[in-house]
Amino acid sequence: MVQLSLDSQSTELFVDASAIINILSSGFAEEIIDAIQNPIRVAVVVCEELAESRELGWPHADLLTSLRDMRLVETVELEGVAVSVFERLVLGHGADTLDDGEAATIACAVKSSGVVITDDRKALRVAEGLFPGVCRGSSMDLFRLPSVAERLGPTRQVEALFNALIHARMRVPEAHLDWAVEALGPERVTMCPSLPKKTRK
Amino acid sequence: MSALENIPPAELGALLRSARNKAGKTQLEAADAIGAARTTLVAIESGHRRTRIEETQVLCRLYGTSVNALLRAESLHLDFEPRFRKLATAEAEFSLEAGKLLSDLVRAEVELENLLGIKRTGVILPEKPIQAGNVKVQAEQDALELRQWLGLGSSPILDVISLLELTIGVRVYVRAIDGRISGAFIYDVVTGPCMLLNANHPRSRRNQSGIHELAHYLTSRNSPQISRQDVVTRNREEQYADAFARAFLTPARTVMEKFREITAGSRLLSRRHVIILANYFGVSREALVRRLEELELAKRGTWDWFHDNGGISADQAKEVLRDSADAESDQVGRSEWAAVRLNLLAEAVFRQGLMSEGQLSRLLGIGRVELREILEVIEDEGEEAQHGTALPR
Repeated sequence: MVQLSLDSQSTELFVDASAIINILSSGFAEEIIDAIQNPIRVAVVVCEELAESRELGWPHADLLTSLRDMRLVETVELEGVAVSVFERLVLGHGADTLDDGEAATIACAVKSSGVVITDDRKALRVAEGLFPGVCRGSSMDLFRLPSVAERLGPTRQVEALFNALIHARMRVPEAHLDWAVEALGPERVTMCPSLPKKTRK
Repeated sequence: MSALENIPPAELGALLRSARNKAGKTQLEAADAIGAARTTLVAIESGHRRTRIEETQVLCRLYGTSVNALLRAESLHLDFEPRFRKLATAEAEFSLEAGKLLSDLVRAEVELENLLGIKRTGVILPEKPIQAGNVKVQAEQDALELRQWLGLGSSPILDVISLLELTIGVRVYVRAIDGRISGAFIYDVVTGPCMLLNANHPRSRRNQSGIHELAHYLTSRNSPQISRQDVVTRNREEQYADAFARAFLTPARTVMEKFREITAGSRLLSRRHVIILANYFGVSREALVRRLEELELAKRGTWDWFHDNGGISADQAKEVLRDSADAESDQVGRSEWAAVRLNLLAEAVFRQGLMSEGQLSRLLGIGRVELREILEVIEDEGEEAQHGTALPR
């Protein structure tokens, strides 16, 4: 798979639940998404999954609805070739398949030659195996996009990261770990249980 | 041929019907969701008409599940609900909720075990149907025999849940459920014995409930049970199970010996004696006094006297026991406590990339953030382990 690179502003970003909840928990979702010049898409199936978690007390569905109402995010249905990709991703052995939201995100990205934004390692592995050319990125890639960094400024960028770590228990990929630890500083790092324990000592 | 076409229509139809029933949706509601006539839905569920993936997805959404959760190869379509439904009266919806919870927990655990290739072990206890005659005598005898068979001798049982889970191989879940329910039990050839205990009850109460349900496993394992503490059922099954629990947790001879030791030099049975003995055996103070009455170590009505004269309070127990753990006060009340094994399996499946976050959170019926919290706690513990503690492969 190809690592995130947003050379073209028309490339659509398809954000999975594992990543969107991090952005929504950052406290700066509106500004982050507005700062990303590429269209942000969320599969309807992902919205429905978030709506199910409303019963458990999570606010993500309502936050996402606000972003959609502001036209910062567009929800997308499975159509055309995405349907057969989806089918291929959800049916089969447990170890080779994904849940509907993850599968729908990848299917829509494949159909539109867009970018899959997910923090799920298995989703990446499955997508990589079936569609090696699909471009991918993570929540951290979005937090660190130059346009996002510029819009938020260093203090609020770190605050957004800290909120996602605390409220959504975001995982930081190894490639971003040194930067995150440095940016957060030792005091905040110790408060983030989703960071690897070795960084919290 | 598409992946969906590989699933025989009759099998797919049966799965969809089962999911619909579980979700409590009518055929008409389901038909409306996919824009079809009810007769079409009947044809789908009976395997006479195939569904397209889009229709399957709409139906799964309506039923509160996902296509992947319903149709992935390892999905365990285990539904104890119909068996529990036969038991529960119409007004006892909370009993059905407990049955559904037990069903969901078992299904999740078995699917995780299957993915990891784990074969659960445990002893298979021979079934001992209740015979004609005095049930209490039978229960006392059976409890003593089982203790000997398990090599427990006559000592108190320090950890009933570990005994049930690790020695006997019962799947035990302790979850916060309606306070009127003390336990639920079901046996299935695929899963073995499964038990749900109430995390809102004190540990001593849970111990009794666990052994009470064990008695049902011994005598009538093919009949599911939901034990309610607000309904006194005095049939022979329940009398046996109560007596079995008393005899198993408080073996007569040991109670007599400990009673003699603790009350040596006293003329009266004091609150302090009751507190110490109840704590020693891991049972409630009421259960202990009633056992003393049964064994004629205390006069009939002793517990009622305590009850009418201010009872025995938690503060009094705390004062007597000081630093030692008090079985009565050990409330759990947190859903995660005894789902420890389930959490460990989930972490292993996640770490090995066998399930995604979405698959796991749906299987466990928890939100993604909650799942992340569970996984990070286990990962933290794993990170702490030194190389010297690595398990042999």
